[in-house]
Amino acid sequence: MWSSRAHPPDEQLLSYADRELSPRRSAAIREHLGECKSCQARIAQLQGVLGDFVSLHEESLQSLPKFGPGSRLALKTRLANAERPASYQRLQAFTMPRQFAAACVALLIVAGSLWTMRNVSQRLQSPSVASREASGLPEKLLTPGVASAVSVENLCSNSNAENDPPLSSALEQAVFKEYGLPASSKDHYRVDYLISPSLGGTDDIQNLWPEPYALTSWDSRVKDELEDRLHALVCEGKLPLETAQKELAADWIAAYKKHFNTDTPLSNAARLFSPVRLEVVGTKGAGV
Amino acid sequence: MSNPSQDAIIELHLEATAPAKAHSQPELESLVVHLFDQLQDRLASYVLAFGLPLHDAEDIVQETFLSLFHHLDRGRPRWNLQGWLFRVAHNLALKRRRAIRTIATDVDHDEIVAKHPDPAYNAEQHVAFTQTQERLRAVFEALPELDQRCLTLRAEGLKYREIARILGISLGAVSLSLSRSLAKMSRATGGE
Repeated sequence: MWSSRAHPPDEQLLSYADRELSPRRSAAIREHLGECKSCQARIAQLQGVLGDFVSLHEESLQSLPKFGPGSRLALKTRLANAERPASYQRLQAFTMPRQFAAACVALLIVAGSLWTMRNVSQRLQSPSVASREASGLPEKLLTPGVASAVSVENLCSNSNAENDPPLSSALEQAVFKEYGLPASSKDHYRVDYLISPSLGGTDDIQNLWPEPYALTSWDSRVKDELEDRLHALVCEGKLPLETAQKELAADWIAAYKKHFNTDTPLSNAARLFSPVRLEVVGTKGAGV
Repeated sequence: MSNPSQDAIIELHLEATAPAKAHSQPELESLVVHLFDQLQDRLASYVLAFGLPLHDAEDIVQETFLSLFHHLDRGRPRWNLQGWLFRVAHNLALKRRRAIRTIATDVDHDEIVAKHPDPAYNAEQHVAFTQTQERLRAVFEALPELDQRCLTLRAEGLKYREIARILGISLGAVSLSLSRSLAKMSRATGGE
C-alpha cells in the first residue's frame, strides 16, 4: 500500500499514532514505518507537537479562574433537591411484581439450569452494578482469564499482531448474556480481552468481559497502555510471560500502578511521552 | 444456552432489583459530585472558549452535571461519560451563545463572540508560557473555531469517534482537522 514513493499522509500517520486506524491499515502503516525513516521522523514530529499542545492545554487550565467552593456547594444542594419521579415509580413497581419475581425465581429453580442459576445468583450476591463497573475490573468468576500455550518467540516476532482482533457479534452477545446485559449493550460497552492476544490470551468467553467507558478512569485505553508495556517487557526477556498473564488476569489495575509507578492513570501528556509510544519507530514486534 | 423466555425472566428480575441496589440517592449524588470535582475545570474551559461570560459558563457546567444526575438516575448507559459530559456542555454552550446573540442585535455574532471572549477571565493569574507555547497559542487562536474545538477535545483525551459525535462531523473530518492543525503548529515551531 505504501512504499518509498508513496508515503502515508499526515492524517494517516496521526490516526495510526492515536490508535484510531483499523487493524489492516495499522499493519500497512507499521510495515511502511519499519522501512521509512522520513515517515518515522514525521510521526514523531506530529506526536511531539501534539504533546506540546496537550501540555499547553493543561497549563492553561491552571490560569483559569476557578469557580470556587460555592459552585460545588450549589451543585450538591441542587442534587439533594432534585426531583426523582422515575425512582419513585420504580419503588412502587418494585413491590408490585415482587410476587411475580418470586414466582419467576421458583420457575428458574424448577427449570434447574445450573448455568442460569450461577448467573442469577452472581447478580444478586455481587456488589451493585455501579461499583463493579466503576472498579474497572471484570467479574472474577465469569472472567478468570484464559491464555493458550504460545511461545514468546511467536508473540514477539509477529509484527502484524494486533492487541484486539475484532470479535464476532455472536461472541459479543454471548458475553453480554453472561453478564446479564441486554443485547443492545453493543453500543454501550466494549467487549475486551482480559489477557490480550498479544500476550497469549484467547477469545474464550472466560477471557472476555464488557467494559463500560469513563465511569472510571481505569478504562480500556489505560489497559491498552499496560498491555503494550507488558508485551515490551516480555519480549525483552525482563518479565516471564506467565507472570504477565497472571498480572492481567488477577488485577490489571494493580499491575498498571506497579509498572508505571503511579496511583492514577497517567495523564495524556505523560502517556504521550511514556516509552511505549516510541514503539512506532522501533523495530518489528518488540517494544522499546 | 438459555432460551429466550428464560432471558426475559432474568431481565425482568434484574429490573426489579437493580434500582434498589444500583441507584441509591447518596450513591448517585456522591458519584456526580466526584465527577464534578474531576471535570468541572475542563468543562468550564471548554465552555468559556465559546466566548461566554463567566457566570454563564458556571451555570452551564452546573446544568451539565445536573443532567448527568438525571441521566444516571434513569438508568441510562454509563458508557463514555466523559464524552457525554462534553457533548451536553457543548450543546448548552451553543444554545446559550445563540440566545445571547438574539438579545444583542448583531446577525452572525457567533464567530465574533468566540474570538473575543469575556476579558474578565483573562485578568487572572498569568502562567508564564515559553516562547514555543506562545507560538502554539498564536496558531491555535488563528484556527477556525471547529478546528479549535477538535484539538481541545483531543487534548482532553477523547477518541475520534466521540469528538465526531460532539461536533456533529464525520470521523474523517476529525482526523483531517487534527492533522492540519498539528501540521500548522509544527511549521510555526520550527518543524517541517
